[in-house]
Amino acid sequence: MSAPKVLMTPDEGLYEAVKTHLSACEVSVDEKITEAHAIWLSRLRRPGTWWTGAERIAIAKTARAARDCPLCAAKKEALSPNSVTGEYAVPDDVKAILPHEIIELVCRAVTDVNRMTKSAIAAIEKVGLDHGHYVEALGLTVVTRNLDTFCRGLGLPFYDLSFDPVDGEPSRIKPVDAAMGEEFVPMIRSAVPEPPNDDLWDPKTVGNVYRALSYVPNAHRDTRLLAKVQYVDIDHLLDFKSNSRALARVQSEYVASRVSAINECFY
Amino acid sequence: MLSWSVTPEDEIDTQGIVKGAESGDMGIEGGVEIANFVEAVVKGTEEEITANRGILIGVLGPVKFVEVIATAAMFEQMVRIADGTGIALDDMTLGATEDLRDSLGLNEFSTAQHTFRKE
Repeated sequence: MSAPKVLMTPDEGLYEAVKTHLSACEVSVDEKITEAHAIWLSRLRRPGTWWTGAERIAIAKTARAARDCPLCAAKKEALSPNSVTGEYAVPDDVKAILPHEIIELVCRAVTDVNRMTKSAIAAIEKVGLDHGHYVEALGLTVVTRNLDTFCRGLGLPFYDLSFDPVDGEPSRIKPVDAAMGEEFVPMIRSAVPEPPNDDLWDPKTVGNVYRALSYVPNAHRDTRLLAKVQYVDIDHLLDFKSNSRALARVQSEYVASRVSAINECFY
Repeated sequence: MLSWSVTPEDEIDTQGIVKGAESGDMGIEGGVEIANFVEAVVKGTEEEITANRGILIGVLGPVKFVEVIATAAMFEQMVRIADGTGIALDDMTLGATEDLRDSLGLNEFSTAQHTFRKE
């Protein structure tokens, strides 16, 4: 198996910041969750596959701002989201570096993802962006939503995103075995991905949700990192007999099912 | 996944997946309190989260509480991955959940249009 080029240890300063942040809540947070969140924040500030570190931080800020964006709320209420126009309530530094088309897709992914469409995503190609720009942005958006929800549930402020980006250019490397199908984005379709992405999943348990972000393999690796400490190791998703958590598996699945139902997620 | 995680000793009412706390505890320890807290976290106010957090910690204890919020937050991520990429329901899941989807009305969700298609 090839060694993936993805950060597996957090930046020291960010690790300490996350520890301090989580120590302010009334309950003790598992050290593995603390470390995983610090690793992801450390990855966030580095160049990705399609975006620079500064752009990746801006995407996370957009995902956070969408929670309270009046335009997003109006679009969600409208019969057609495209019938409502206006300015997204995102910070000025975000507007300065992110294409409007990406801000729009990130906002929809946070507040109105049920109405995401293949054509809305494909529209980014008209402004010179690749599907990879969307997949990576979606990956960052959903993790931001995860971490913000976690902090909110604990009664804490959100993590500070005002750290400096690491300089460098995105790699723009596409998986050689990714292809477009009926879904909205290209995905790796083989049971065993070609190197260096043969670490992405266990071929015995792979499902479509594993493949979803595979056009940007490191976005899927982010999901694996967090699922392992916040839910279950996704290689053991269908192993209902072993359970390393205090919660019974049926309790974990009830939480997962309720969140999915409230969001009207059919999958 | 919920139905697959049930052990022979469990008797759960899957209507709680869509109805939440009004279905009672569903035979799950802390089921009502979990449902109320999750609903508050996903679509409630800060006040509702605070109130239900205290109740849930009282029922499950702090360790299980952290696992509840960690799982809920993870699924705020997972549902957006699924619907943001338009993935279809896997064949295995499609067949195994036919009765459950029908009884819970999940086929009426707007996202069923793309998720329900045959691969």
